[in-house]
Amino acid sequence: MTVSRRDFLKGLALGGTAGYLAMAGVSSTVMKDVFLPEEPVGDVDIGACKSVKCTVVSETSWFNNSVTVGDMMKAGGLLVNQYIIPWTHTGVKEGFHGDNAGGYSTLIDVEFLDGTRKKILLDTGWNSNWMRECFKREGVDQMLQKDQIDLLFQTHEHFDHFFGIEAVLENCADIPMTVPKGFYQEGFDLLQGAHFDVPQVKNDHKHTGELVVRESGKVHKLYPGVASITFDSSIITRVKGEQALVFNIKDKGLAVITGCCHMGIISLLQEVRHRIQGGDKIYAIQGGLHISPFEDWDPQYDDLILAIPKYGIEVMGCNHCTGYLTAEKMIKAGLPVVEGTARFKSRKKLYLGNGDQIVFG
Amino acid sequence: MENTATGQEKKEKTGISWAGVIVGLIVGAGLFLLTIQIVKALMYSLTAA
Repeated sequence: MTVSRRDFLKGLALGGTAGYLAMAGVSSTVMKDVFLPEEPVGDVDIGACKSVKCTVVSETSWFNNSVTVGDMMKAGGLLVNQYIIPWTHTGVKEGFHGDNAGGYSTLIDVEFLDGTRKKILLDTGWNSNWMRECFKREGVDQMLQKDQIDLLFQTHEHFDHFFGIEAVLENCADIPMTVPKGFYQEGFDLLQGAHFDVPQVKNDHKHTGELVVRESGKVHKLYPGVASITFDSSIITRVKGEQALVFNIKDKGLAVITGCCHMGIISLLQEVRHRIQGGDKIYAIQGGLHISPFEDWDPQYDDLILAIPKYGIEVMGCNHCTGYLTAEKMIKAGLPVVEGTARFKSRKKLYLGNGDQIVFG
Repeated sequence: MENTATGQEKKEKTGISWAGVIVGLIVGAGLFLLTIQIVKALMYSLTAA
């Protein structure tokens, strides 16, 4: 029996199309595990600690969203240098004595396996007057004066996390400090006593302690069971670089503590999972998750809410730039968001607010 | 007349070759696998960059 070339080619075309489509179906269903690369597991051993207590000193970075956004837009948009934006400091009804500026700062108390402790102050806030009141409320001013805070961990250079540096340095000028790579000269100048008239930021107390700039893309071991991880992120108001803290809590898993999470919550969780030993068990996350800081919503944020549960996080102590809208949606999706008490100008109980505490471990 | 009859006879015999279909299935499946390998390689090289 002979087969004509034309018939063979017709069969080849039909079979080729069917084979291509069939393999697409098979490879994306029953054989999908064969084609997906195995997820790398972290190999950096950071040791272990016993427990971590976080006190939210201030999570209210500003008191009126539209005023903050308006300040940036009037200055030329979200990418304008934060040191040349004339921020609103008077006449805001919800503000602190009319000032729209608040700040973000968290006190972290780590207990090690041998029972010793270290305190880390994560970020300094924005409005020095507001921060003085918050530091006093939580006893941070006294701790600084008595050299009881071991490290000032500056997550990034943003106004609401850093411009309140004076309120810290006036209590302890020689506090050891770490910043992520990407800090601008203005930031270093502010540490050395610069005044910036346009944004109304100043510091009259020069930093005299050790200052470490952390390289991006690396895990930096700080104490047993404590490490930082630095990202080369470009952020609004011309800020670059952000770092987060990771704690390995014995018998619990990893706890990740962020300032603002501009690197993105999924990027952060993935990086922790891929870089740090035990990354397959992220037990808790705390801090700003930067999803709806201005209480707006984009459908792509729904994907984040859907993606978070696969990390198996048991405790979410989020606040600040996470946004109340996001918290509502996360709670609705069954995520373990920890409620706050809505005190000291935090507006809702949806997440941890000013003066609230959470203990991991 | 003879030539026309022969032509009609040839036309009726045309169809799809099963041998072609089987070879096609193998080639088509192979092409898909090759495609996803290329996409995968490109995806990871872009991620690395």
